[in-house]
Amino acid sequence: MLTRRRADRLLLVLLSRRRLSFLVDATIGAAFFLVGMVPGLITKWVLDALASPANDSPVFWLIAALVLVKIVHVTLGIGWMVADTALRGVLLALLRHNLFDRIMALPAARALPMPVGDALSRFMEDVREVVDALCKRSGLMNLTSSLSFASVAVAVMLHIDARITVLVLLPALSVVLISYGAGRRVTRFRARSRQAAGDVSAFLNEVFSHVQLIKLSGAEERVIGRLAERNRIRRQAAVRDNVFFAILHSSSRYVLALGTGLILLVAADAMRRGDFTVGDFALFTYLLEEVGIGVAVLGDFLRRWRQAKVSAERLTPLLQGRPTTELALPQPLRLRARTPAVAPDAPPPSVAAADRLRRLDVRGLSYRYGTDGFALRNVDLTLARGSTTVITGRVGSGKSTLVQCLLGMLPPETGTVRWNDQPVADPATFLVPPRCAYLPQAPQLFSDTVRENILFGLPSDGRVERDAAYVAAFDEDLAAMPEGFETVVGPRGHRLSGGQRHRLAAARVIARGADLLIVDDVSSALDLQTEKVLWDRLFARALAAGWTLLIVSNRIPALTRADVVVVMDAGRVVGTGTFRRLLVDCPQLRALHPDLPTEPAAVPVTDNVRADATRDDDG
Amino acid sequence: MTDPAAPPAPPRRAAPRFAARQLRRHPAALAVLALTLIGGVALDLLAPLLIRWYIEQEVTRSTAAIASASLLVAGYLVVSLLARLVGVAEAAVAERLAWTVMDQVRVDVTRHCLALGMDFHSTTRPGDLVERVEGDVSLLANFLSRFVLTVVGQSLLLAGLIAALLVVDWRIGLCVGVLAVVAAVALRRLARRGQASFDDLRQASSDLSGLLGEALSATPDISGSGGGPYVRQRLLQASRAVFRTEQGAALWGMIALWSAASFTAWLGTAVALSWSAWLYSIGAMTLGTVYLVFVYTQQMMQPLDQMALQIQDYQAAAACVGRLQGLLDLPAPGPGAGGRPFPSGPVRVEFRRTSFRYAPERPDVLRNIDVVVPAGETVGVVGRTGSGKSTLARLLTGLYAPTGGAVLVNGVDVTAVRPGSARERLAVISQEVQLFKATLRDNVTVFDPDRSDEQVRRAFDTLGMTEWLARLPDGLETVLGPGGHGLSAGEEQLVSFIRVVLADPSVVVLDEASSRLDAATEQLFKHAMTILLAGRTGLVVAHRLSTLSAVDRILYLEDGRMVEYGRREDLAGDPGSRFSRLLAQGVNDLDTDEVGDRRC
Repeated sequence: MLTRRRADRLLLVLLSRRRLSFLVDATIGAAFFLVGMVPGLITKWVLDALASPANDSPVFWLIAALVLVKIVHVTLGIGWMVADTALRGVLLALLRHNLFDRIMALPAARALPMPVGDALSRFMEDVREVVDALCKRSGLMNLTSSLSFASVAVAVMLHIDARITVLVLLPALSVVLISYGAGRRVTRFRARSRQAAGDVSAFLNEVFSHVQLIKLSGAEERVIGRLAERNRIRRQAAVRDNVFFAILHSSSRYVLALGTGLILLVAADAMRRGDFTVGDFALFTYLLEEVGIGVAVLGDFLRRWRQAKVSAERLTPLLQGRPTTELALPQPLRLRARTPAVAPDAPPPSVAAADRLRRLDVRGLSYRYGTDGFALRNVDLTLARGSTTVITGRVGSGKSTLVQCLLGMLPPETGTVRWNDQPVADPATFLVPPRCAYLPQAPQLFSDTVRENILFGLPSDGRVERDAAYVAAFDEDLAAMPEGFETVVGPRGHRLSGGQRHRLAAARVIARGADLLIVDDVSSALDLQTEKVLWDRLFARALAAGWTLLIVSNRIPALTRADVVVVMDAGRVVGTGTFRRLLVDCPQLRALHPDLPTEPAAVPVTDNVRADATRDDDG
Repeated sequence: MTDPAAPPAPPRRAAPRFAARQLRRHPAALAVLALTLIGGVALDLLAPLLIRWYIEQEVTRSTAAIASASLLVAGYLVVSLLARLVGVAEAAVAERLAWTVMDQVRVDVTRHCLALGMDFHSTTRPGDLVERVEGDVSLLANFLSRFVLTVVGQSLLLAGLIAALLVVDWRIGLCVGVLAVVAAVALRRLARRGQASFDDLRQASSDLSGLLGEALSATPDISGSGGGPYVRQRLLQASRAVFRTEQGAALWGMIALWSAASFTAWLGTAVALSWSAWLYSIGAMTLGTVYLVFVYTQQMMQPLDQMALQIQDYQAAAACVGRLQGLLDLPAPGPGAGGRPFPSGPVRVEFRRTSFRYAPERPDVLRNIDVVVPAGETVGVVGRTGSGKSTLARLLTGLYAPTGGAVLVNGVDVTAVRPGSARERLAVISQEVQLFKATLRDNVTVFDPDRSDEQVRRAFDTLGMTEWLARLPDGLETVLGPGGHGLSAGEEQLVSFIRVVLADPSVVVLDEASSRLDAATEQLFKHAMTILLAGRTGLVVAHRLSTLSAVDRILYLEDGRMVEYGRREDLAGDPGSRFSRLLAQGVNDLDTDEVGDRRC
């Protein structure tokens, strides 16, 4: 219930933030509806004029006026549409951009609490539902306009015959009650139908990302079967949702017909007496029709509003803890501007000399996956300026988790990170270029050119990308590509080999020129020679530029080059020191390399290695 | 960026033909829909007639007509109720039909996409395809279920109104009829001109969705490279395109279609009213009839309005059909239904003067590879990254057709192998593990319900992973993927090995499969690999020399050319061979004497 009310607030906050636009929208809308009433009035006068015994009635003038009024009406209609489409477009973009900004501000490894396809469906469809509840198509702007029209119409009707009007309008009120009473069901049906839609979308996204596996497993028809099943679930939910709406809508329309019937019954006497003319009757039924539409719109709107709340609630998990009202924060989007190409951002801020990394300390870092135990337990780590540290350990020992916690991409349970002895309050915003750059274990590329993938918005005269490609050992691959830096890498870099993708992503990270470079397992996809070239160039560059390196790897070429090796096991640091020394001292490291002989005089493994592991820093 | 699936301008009438093809499968639902539509039209015409009689009675006769008037009112209420009930029935049938047909199209398009070659999938973003199957198809909903019937129904209503007016007074009927025809023709003309803005809107929307999809799956990359502002800027551009095209499309729909329809209807009313007024003034028409004429001309608003709306819908649908048809028209490459089955038993693999390039304008990735792998033997492929190792593996799967020469299994061209038959016979493990948000069981069997628990557990046992399985919260039913149980990269790779153990193939392709494993875990895997490769033909792409300890032969690639091929012992023993130099380098790499990888 609480979340529902909060979701509600998003709609209200949007309204108040954009009240001027909404006011303009609603005013034009109301004018459109009111002018729409004039033809009905004119028709009444025409019929009355005809019925009156006087023969010099201005019938034909009235008819000419009819055509003129219609021209004004159409013009207002166009104006309303222009204003409303613009407002709607702005709101759509505003919500999507705020949503995106929030996701980018979250711990990156946990930014999405759901599959990408599902999130995408919320970005596109649910945002649309929220905005449509406010605009003209079927939302608030339609309601305000219809209602302002309806109230004028009711006034006119009251003026003609108050008794009949009241009688006729009573059933119309029941429409509102019906719509309101149906509210809970509306919410339930809609929530189910939206969830089912998200599931279909997420599944399709996986299917199209895993085509090769599906083909090789011959699983095409089985996947289609699963899709059909998910489709069926959604279909049932959606049909129920929509038919329920049709029933609501039809019942309000029928109440209208009841109203007309009532007029007929009640007005019979009055008409025979001549108190109620045929013109009155025509106007009455015409206005009643319009009032009825207004009432039906109110019913639709109540349903729509509830559905929008469902959608706003579905945006809440994407915000991970923040109120949905943050989605209404103003943004300078300038949607009408035409920018031909990506405007290069301001040159990256350079780090003040005092702020350059001298020493990074991690103390007592712990992390828990769900409730089933620690993935990281009280880890300490110190990086000195210009040093190279390699974290190594078995699969699942917590290497990547350590790096991600350190970077604020995972929220650690306990622990502190200090940059030059200053505590870092929010690593996720502090440990970014130009202070720190990070290459994830499974890097992603954008379906763009090689150049765009390396620069990622950095300004460049052509040297930055060439240099980064060289250090990442991507230069030879580039030379073999006829289009060079303009080569399009395809979705997720699919046109490149696995090793090329990794090195291209490495080039992107190297191009940041950050003080601290964190690389999670780049070499696993490379052959020995290329790996050697990459390490040689990267280490040389780090030395020349004074970069500090933190590398996750189990590969011997990386381990032998490291100043400090940190061995992890079951979420703990179990050894710190040089590779050669740890090969003797640390059983966990030896287990990783069973084929490497240790020195003949190898000291038998003692327990003190484990006990002193975290304080052992003689590397 | 080039989009190979970008639709050519859809041929005219493509959309109706598409709809007709889809709807033909549902004759019963169509018949019911037609009935409800015709019924609805009839009821809509009937209601005003009742009121006209009422007016004539009430105004012209002064007394003794109460009973009959009540009857007319009751009749009016019944007719209205029926009209509403028919409306609900129509909505129910149409909604169900629309969803059924949409889901059918979704399944068809997805099936077709899955049948398309990897060259297509390597140039098309998954997010784009999702937008086609979800977004585009959902815009067809109304078009598929209601368009034809609504147009027919509203035309019927229009014809009925004109006919009724003709009966009342032939001159009014004729006048209004001519106006209606002119309006209809004008609407069609205008509609055709506005098509481009709807096409643009769909494209812009699919671009936005594609970009968002990429960005959302790359959050660690964006944050790690400080790319937030850059991606945001690109998103803004995409949003601007959507904003612009949406305005264009809406403006067109409103100005051209709605205003034309609306204005015509009122012009009709004005003409009809003038004429009736004159007839009434000379005593040739009753007041009740004037009212009837007014109501009927007013009612013409509805079909014209509806048609204007439908035309906008039609345009959106035509844009979608164009995009879907463009996709469906891409020929699914390779084996047809008449392909040959994959040979069973141990197979001999042969690359015969095989060359390959990913696109005509690209250089050759493989050149004239001539290799025979005898049945049951394993060949290890070595070479630097980019030398064509992975491409060679891809060619063996038959998912990519060589641009020169052929790849043969027991003398049968792999691209001519019936796709279904390859699945038990050939398995691939690559470095990227593709996981579904589904149970572990569905992930390892790739949704095959016919695998028994026993079989699956045995596969885990083969890899020594029974203990690991026991630690999972729900065992085989543990849901993997986002929002489910998280796996480390190494664990993910192990899941993919179990897939292969389950598949029990006669050819095994390992494409840098163990690259994500640490050495200790790799021991586990190597054990299973030895079992897997025994009695099977294998192709092992590796950059770790240790992975190659079990292979029979070595194929050395350089820049897409085969530079060495032979038995492993022979090459390792020949000090002049590149392979033996590579081995030596592997040892040198460790820099020290006491540590060395000496198994190769």
